[in-house]
Amino acid sequence: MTNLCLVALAQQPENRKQFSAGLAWSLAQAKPDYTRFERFMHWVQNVPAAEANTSGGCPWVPGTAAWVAPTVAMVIAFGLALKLGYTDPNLATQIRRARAFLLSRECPDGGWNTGSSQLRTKASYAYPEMTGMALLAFDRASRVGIERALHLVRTMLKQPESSEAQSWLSMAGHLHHLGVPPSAPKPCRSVRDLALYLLATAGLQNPLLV
Amino acid sequence: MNQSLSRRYFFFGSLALGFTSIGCAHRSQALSSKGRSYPVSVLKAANYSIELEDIVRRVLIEHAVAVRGKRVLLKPNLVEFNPYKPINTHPAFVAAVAGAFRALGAAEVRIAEGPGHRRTTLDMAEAAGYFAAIAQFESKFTDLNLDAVRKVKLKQPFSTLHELYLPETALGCDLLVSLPKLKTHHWAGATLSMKNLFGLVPGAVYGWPKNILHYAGINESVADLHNLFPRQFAIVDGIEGMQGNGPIEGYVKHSGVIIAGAHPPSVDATCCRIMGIAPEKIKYLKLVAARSGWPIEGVVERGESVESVRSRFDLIGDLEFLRG
Repeated sequence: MTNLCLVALAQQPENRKQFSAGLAWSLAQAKPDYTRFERFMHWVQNVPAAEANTSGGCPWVPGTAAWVAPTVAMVIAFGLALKLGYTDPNLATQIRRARAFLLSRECPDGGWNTGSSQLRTKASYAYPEMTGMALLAFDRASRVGIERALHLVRTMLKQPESSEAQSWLSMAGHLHHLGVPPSAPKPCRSVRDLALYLLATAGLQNPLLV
Repeated sequence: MNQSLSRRYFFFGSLALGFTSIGCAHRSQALSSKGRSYPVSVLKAANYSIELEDIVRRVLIEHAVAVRGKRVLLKPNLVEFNPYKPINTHPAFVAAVAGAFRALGAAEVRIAEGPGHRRTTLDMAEAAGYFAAIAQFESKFTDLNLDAVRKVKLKQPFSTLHELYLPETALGCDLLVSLPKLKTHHWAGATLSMKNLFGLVPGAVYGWPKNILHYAGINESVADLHNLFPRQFAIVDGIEGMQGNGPIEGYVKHSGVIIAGAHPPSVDATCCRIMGIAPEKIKYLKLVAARSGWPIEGVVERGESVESVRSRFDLIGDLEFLRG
């Protein structure tokens, strides 16, 4: 949530003091690499090897496990900080770690679920809204590691399940220049749906596309 | 059996051996308490086309549920978009329960849910068939993930939580009616009327999924949520359940049964027996039993006998130890 607030604060120069304070707090939340005990527990719990060794994500609530959505928010906020001229080397480090975290959680079908790529004994499947959102964390100049996900976005955009899914997928399409023609908008059922729709239709003016 | 399962069996098997004596002592203590037994109705229902509303109305009358003039909140289990797998409480079932409460004079019948994985609640409800089955569904529904919240202190929590933000809609109703699907659960063993209350916890505060409940202890959080809502009734959609890797990745089990009662732990214990799971091995039931003195084995079943509707659910290998 703090990272989303940072995105909003970054839009107004007069909010720079609050932005700096929020950024410092967010940087301090960065998870260190997994401890030996955590790795052992991952082994016991059959966590896929790639996930078991890749920390760097961000939790919803401090002190709990990391998930895709808050990790993406962190990458966007830190990317904005770099754009604004902040020079803390931890920013680039945490972005790199977060991207590694996301890549390690990519589902076998090429997209993202809320967190793990595996649900106990079965592979997780991609959610369209999470797949679109996750792709906002990746550099538009480089497509290394996300080619399958981009292909999946093209497929998902043909039949998005919801307005929210359509908006996140469209944003990913804009960021990564997929050139997918816009489809008929799904009904917005909430203020959040409407806000995301407006962001998605803003193209590259969208502040979430860093 | 693959290598990873063997690894887990070995690890947890070793732990289980170590704690066997403690567990047995704990169970004996719970069962020796003089507790009250609660009635649970078990009814056959072959499919969703039959007169479900009439069945539910009779159940509510039989249990002397005070309905007239009350604000009733129905809490189905709405988890995923997929309308073909038995993941969500069937829309016809929810419609029938809503109709039964209205027929018995409820002042208001609202439907509410806060899905744990997906934020797009209304889109999911539409895909699951709720809009088609329930007239003016959107005006009767509250997305608990986005509802106004109030901080509630937990007295003597089982989990590590000391307070929770909970939706006003749930806190303000006169009767909370849990409408779960009869499903296995890959962490808790079975997800029934008590576990269904995880959907009350607002995603807007705790995220998607509500991982804080896992960190605080899944079973302990289930027991805490149960204690926070003393005015409940549970009606379980067991017409089509889910077996295997539930609550999402499993497959259909045609059980043809509805289970209902005013004491959710008793309802869930009966569900477990029907599913071929030993309720005394379900941790959240054990927690409630140990604290309250409720005897897990002392449920009074009405209607069909458990034996006549028993329908052994497949469990994932790691949970085979839950068999009765």
